[in-house]
Amino acid sequence: MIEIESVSVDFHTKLRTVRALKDVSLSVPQGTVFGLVGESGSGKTTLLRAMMGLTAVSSGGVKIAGEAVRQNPPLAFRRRVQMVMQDCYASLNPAHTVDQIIGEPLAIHRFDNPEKRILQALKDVGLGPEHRFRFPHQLSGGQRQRVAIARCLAIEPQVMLLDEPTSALDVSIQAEIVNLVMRLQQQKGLTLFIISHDLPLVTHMCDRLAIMRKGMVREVITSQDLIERKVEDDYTKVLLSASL
Amino acid sequence: MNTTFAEWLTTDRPASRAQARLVRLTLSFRTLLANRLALLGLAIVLALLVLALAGHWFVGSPTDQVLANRLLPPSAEHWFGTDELGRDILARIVHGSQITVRIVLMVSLIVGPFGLMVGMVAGYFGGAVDAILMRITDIFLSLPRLVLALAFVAALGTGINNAIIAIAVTSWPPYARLARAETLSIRNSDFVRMAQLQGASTLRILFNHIAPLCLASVVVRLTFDMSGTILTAAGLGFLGLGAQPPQPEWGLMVAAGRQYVLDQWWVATMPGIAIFIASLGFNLLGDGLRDVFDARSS
Repeated sequence: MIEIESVSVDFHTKLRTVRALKDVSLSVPQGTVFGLVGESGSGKTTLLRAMMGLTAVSSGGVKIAGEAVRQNPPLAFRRRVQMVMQDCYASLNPAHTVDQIIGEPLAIHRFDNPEKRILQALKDVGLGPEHRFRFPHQLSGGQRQRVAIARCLAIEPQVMLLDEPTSALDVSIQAEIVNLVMRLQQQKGLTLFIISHDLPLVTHMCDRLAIMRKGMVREVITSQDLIERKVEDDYTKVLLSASL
Repeated sequence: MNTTFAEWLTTDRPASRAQARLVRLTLSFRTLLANRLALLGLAIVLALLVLALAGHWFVGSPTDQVLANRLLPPSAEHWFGTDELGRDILARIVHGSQITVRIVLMVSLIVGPFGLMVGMVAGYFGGAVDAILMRITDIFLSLPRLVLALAFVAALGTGINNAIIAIAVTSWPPYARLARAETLSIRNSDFVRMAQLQGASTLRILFNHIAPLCLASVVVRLTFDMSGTILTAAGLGFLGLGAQPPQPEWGLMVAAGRQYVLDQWWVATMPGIAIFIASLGFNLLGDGLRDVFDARSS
């Protein structure tokens, strides 16, 4: 579903060129959950931006559902690939009701029956009709993130990219959102790509995960191997011992 | 029935979009009602509208001259007295409210959307577009409003329509700046980026995501500026560059009463009071609207 082939990204400043990603290759089969773990500045977000067509790649390429990602991709690509942002406070328009927020992508992609789809999307993420006409500031953090997820799911994407989906939430709400995402993934057969610096969380959610550092993928292993500590890379070992 | 309707209007779980909108409107209106002065402002503005729409059925002609009755003081027959040509000042003020309301509405309808568009486009696109649009705005902003309006009226000719154009041309720049500042603060926010990632077109982002957030401050500013518009229109009339005799424009009436201000004070004072009350009303209403919009954004 997602094919990342030897992607490199360079950022040019007046004085020098920074290589943010070095020859990254990853492959995520359809319907699986893939995690990307790494410390700040390891290139996680750059890779995500490249996957969404927000950042130009210097070499290599990303294919999602067989289609090469380019900058300003067509509308059909946008519908297939959706994203949930880290900060659920900032990613919802404060002047829009939940109804408008979920209805917006439906209108952009000209879906029929928006009324029914909005109610269904709310139900999918465990919100009731009473939340439909609230503004974001009338919702709790967990509810906002649910709305953000409902907004993505409303247009039935195949791939969802989640950028630290729980890091802005407190621990008990984190578990709720994680369980919600996992349930929806199984129900709808979504392909998920999750970025996080939280190793236990990613291990819990993902089938396979990649460890990144300094713009390079150090290791790609299955969660099972990680739990059984069958790791080879030194950095992964450090990360693993630090997270216990 | 009455209580259920009240509950229906204030429910926290509306069943439809229309009901949600009504609930929102009701709650905003209650915030406005909680502010006594804003309520007074609203009452004055509504009274002005009613006066403009229906007042002319209750008073005589504003142009009928009865020279035998010139410069009569306020009395039971002529509540506000008569002017130098024996015309009833009350009738002239009531008819003049039509001109005032027309000027205020036209100027607001031209200035608000235009300033909003210029500011949003400049703020959203940035770069050269921003530089060019804002320098043009600066040029208009650097000239004193009344002086520029005078120049426009001098070029276009006198009359109410030209006064409207002159006031509109000179009062849009603050709106462009306001909308630009708001746009700048939200164009890089996550929800705008999210809309881009969903595939929203630029037009859609501007109108659906940015405009609603700029609108609150623009509407409040418009309401405040309505009093300024009334004063500018009256000023143009006073200088003989707006409405022309025998039109019952308030500023023009003050100008005509100037010669008699010591002996027949009512000729200039009555339309002056009308100008004062109308602009006060818009100012108070603007104050209240600001509170309403603040309550929603906080």
